[in-house]
Amino acid sequence: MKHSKTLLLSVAVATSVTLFSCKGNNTNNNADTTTTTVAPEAPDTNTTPPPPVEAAVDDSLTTKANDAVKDYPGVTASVSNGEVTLTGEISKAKLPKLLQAVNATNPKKVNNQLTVK
Amino acid sequence: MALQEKYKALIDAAQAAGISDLQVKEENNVLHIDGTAASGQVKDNLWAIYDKIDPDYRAGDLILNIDASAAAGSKAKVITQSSNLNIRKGPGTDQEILGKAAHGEIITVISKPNDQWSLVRTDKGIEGYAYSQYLEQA
Repeated sequence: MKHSKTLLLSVAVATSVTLFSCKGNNTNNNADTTTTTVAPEAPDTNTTPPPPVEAAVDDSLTTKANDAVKDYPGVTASVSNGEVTLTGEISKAKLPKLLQAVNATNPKKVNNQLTVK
Repeated sequence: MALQEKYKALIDAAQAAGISDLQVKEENNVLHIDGTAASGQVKDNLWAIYDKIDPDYRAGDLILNIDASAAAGSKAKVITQSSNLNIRKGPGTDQEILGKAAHGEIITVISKPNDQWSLVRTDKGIEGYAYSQYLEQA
């Protein structure tokens, strides 16, 4: 009797392990497809973005904003809540090109605090 | 609506210049004007009008995003200030530089994976990603 109980238990454990690993696989599969299916819906969710999404948007915007100011020594870009703030110094001649690049990063707003020489 | 009044001359000029996919919308007190220009000169003209309405672009109430970079499958002229244009392994300035295109050089745009970067090929056969702001329709 005791023997069969142990057997039963081990079968149960094995089954749950199998189930568990299946579940794990499913989650992984879902994760791959989720990224592609969810992406087009992003503009809809933008109206009420949860905090983690906002942070991710800022990370991506920071990369883009830094790429945009890279060729303008003396200019720094910082990002917060989807807004890009520019600080530092720039010549009037270069100002339009810099702002063209920054505006193309899809920010909510650009705060131009640059000193124009 | 007040912002559309303020930038009326700019919106009118964009329409007159035949900006394609022109979109004007207001979000959180910031006016967004998006579209595609046929040439860099048309884009620069609009930015000159913007500068007249809001000197040095200080007000922070307009995002003017006019794309004048070369379209996928077309030839592009490299319009850096004077230096060479980096061609990178991936779309980002943190990516390895595979080669360079000279200022004024004509290269081919293969595709535009996002708003910032174009996949390009030079006549010398260097293939990689270049910053689209420096590529003008040739």
